[in-house]
Formats: sequence, structure tokens, C-alpha cells
Amino acid sequence: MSGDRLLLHISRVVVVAITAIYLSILFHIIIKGIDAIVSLGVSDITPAIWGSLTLVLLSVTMAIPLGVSSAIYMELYGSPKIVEIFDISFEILASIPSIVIGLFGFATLIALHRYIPSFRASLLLASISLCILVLPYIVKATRLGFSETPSDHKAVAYSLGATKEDVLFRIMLPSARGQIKKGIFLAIARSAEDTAVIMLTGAVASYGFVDGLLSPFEALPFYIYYTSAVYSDPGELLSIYEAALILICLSAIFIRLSSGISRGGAK
Amino acid sequence: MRSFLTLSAIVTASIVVGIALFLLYFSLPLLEGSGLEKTIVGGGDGDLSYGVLPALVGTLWISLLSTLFALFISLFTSMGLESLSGKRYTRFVESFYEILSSIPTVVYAFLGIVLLLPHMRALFGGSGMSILSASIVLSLVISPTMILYFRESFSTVPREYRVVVYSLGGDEGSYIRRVLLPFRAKSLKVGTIMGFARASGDTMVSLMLAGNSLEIPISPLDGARTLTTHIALLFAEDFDSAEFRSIFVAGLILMSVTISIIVSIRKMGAKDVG
Repeated sequence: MSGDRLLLHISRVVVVAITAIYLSILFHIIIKGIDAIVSLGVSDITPAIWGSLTLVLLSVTMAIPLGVSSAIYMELYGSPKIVEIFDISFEILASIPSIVIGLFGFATLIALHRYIPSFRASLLLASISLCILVLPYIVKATRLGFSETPSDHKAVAYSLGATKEDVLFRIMLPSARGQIKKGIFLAIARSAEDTAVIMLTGAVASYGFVDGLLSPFEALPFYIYYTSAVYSDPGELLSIYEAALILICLSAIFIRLSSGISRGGAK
Repeated sequence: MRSFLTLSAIVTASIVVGIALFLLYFSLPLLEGSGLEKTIVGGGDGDLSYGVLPALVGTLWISLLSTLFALFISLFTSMGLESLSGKRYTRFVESFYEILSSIPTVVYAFLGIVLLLPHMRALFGGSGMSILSASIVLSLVISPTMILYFRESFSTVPREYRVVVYSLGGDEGSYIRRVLLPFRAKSLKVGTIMGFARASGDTMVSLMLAGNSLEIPISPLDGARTLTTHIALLFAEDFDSAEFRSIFVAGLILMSVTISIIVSIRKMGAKDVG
């Protein structure tokens, strides 16, 4: 029995120690970040903020229709074999390291560059690559929403002569709305924080404000990566904290929203 | 409408195949020209420039070490939280870990640079960038997700089991050790494998903290590059060089690792049902 007690004591010590470590780094970044916002304003990172917002908006806007319609296809028309194959392919896509998706975007660029010389590493390429990164989340969330649709509602609708389309628009999509929203919030959080994809597909250190789909762009995570390698004065260091704090708040809010809905749905 | 749905489903589902084909297409010239052996170990005579071996070894070091650290952290933390469950603050602590799991890896890596590297420099000298530094930070990145996963699997153990342990004269410690851990051994395995998958696929922490050395690392205090940072570092070079081709080989290896991890988790899940 003494072994059991020892285990319990070690566990409690580890809980306290680890929580203390995480709390202290969280406080460190919050305090430094607020300090930076107060003393610097946000002028240095404004282009990166706008770049990130545009990037997230574009990639998620592309991913929603593609992801939702793929899920609808699997639900309504896919044979079990096809659904299984699709499931596996989305599962693999969701787990591929993001740098490999960035590499895919980059390889696409090389392949297309021969034919379309004006196509270069740009906001458009990065958004498409990020769209690929977050697609599986949208598909998965939509499918989860469909699977939670009460089957007797569907049965009643069909027995009243409803077509597949009626059932889709009047029963399945409305009841899956909560889960789809959750998937969208998750996609927003993931595309806002990802660095590996955009560093291969068009993010640059200093370009200024977004000025077109085919131009390079600045983004918060890339700003953090790049500046933390090259910063030379305390002001630049502080501006990294500022970017990090904004990014953390963004991610935390959207991750919180995405899990909040699932809890609401469970009740 | 059906044809539109079919089209978008086929497009989305075939992206994975497209990625695999692109990686193969771009790495084939190297695989054919130099053979598999040279592709892995480089041109020989100490010429490691395009071999992926140093990156492969680096990935193994960093992902194994960080998974080990993270397993220690997450296992004890989730057991500790379990023993405290029922108390008011557990829920608070859990949403705390949820927030931690949402912090971008690039932020963790930046914090590693400003908070961890000075200590590593003071302790071991040099730049402080090493396999060890990257592994420590990476373990902090993957732990929150593992903790949440473990906690969720612990919460599905029927409440009666604890009552039985207590009625037999056991306490919380014996419940955790004799019931919880054996009962959830599979979830612990799956959670650890998922942690390993995240660690081996991470780019930013290794890129910013591992030192990106070209040599084959021998000790945890050596600098190293991983397969992911190999891709991140080389992308701007000459498009026809062997070095450039080797990043696609690294991509292929990473993708194979991903697929084998998914297959192994699926197999474990299938056994679970049967």
C-alpha cells in the first residue's frame, strides 16, 4: 500500500509543479505583452495583424463550402466503402505535419510557375494551403453534426414524401449547425496560429499591409518566428510579446468557443 | 447539386493522394539518381549535405525525448487531478489546460528562447540550442493535449469501481494504481502515440531551439535538425540540386510516419471494439 500512497504524493507534487510552470510562463507573456501594448502601441505589428486576419478569413471561407459539401456527399450519396476511404483520407490529412502541407503548396507553386510566371508565393497560395490544413476539421465537425441528427426526424420526413434535398436542408443542416460552427471556430484557431505552412507559401518579414491576392504578406506567427531570430533591441523584443499576446488571445477565444458549443450540444 | 457535391468530395478526398504524388514526383530524381542508400546517408566521405540521415536521427531524438518528458508530466498530472476530482477547482484547472493546449507552438518556441535558453547556456555553455532544449519545450507543447485526453478517458471509468476499492480498505492511491491505470492502459498508449505524432511533426520548436546542425547528433546536448526543419531551412535553394530534392524525401518520410501512426491507432481501436 505504501507504493500507492507514494504514487499519489508524486502525482500531486507534479500537478502543483507543472501548473506553476505553466502559470508563470502565461503570466510572463501577459505582463510583458500588456507592457508592450502600453509602451509601443501596435504600430509595428499592424500589418501582421491585418495579414493574419485576411489569411484566416480567406482560408476558412474556402474551406467551409468544400468541407461541408464533402460531408454532405458522404452522408447522402457515398457507399459505405467510399465513406470509409474518404474517412481515412481525411484522417491522414488532419494528421500530416503542417510543414508537409506547406511543402505541397510550395511544390504546386514550382509546378505552376513554368506555365503562369506571375503566380508566386503569395496570400492566395498560403490561403489555399491553409484551407487544405483546416478542411478535415470542417468535414469532421459536419459529419459529427449529421450523426447527432435524430434519426426519427429523418424517418418522419421521408415517410411524408420528402426528398433527400428536403431532409438535408430542413432537418440535417439545421441540426448540425452547432457542430459546424464548432468546426469553423477550430479552423479559425488553427489557421491563425500556423507558421510552418505560411513560411513556405508566402509569408515575409516586412512587406507592409496586404495589397493583393498575388502579393506576399505579413502574419503574426511569422512575425514572432522571424523577429525572435533577428531582434536587436529591447523594443523589437517587446513587440514580439505584443504579437504573441494577441495571437494567444485569438487562439484561446476560438478554441474556447469551439469546445463551448460541444458542451452546449451535449446537454 | 449532386454532381457539385460529388466533385467537391472527390477533390477534398484526393488532396492526400495529390500530396503523396507530388512528394514522390519531386523526390524520384534523387531516389533514382543516387539510390535509396545515398539519399539517406548522403554523398559519402562525410558529405552529409543532401542525406536525410542527420535529420532522421534528429527527429528520433527530439520526438522520443519530448514524448518521454510529456508522458511523465501528463501521466502524473492527470493522476494527480483525478485524485483531486470532485473538488471545485478541478474544472477550473481543466479549462486552464484547454487554454494551454491552444497556445500556438511558435509562442512556446519564442518563450523557450527567452526563458529557457539563458539557463541552458549557463548550465552547458554554447548557444544553449540543443536537442534537450527543444525536447523540454516540445514536451510542454504536447502535454496539455495529452493531459486532456487522459483526463477524458479516466472520467469514463464507472464510479462503482472506486467505491469497491474504498470498501475493500483501499484509498485513492490504490484506486489509481490498481484500477484506473490497468483499465485505461490502452488510452494511455493511444494518447502517448498521438503525442509522439505531434512531436515528430512539429516544426517551429525544433527550428527555433534545436540549433539546426548538419551533423548527426550523438548526445542530447548536441544541436540537431529534424525532418521538418530540414524542409523549412532548405526551401529557398537551387530547384534542381540534390539538397533541394532531399526536402521532398523528408516530406515523404514524415508522411509515411503519419500514415503508420494512424494505422496503428486504428488497429488498437479495432481491438477495443472486439
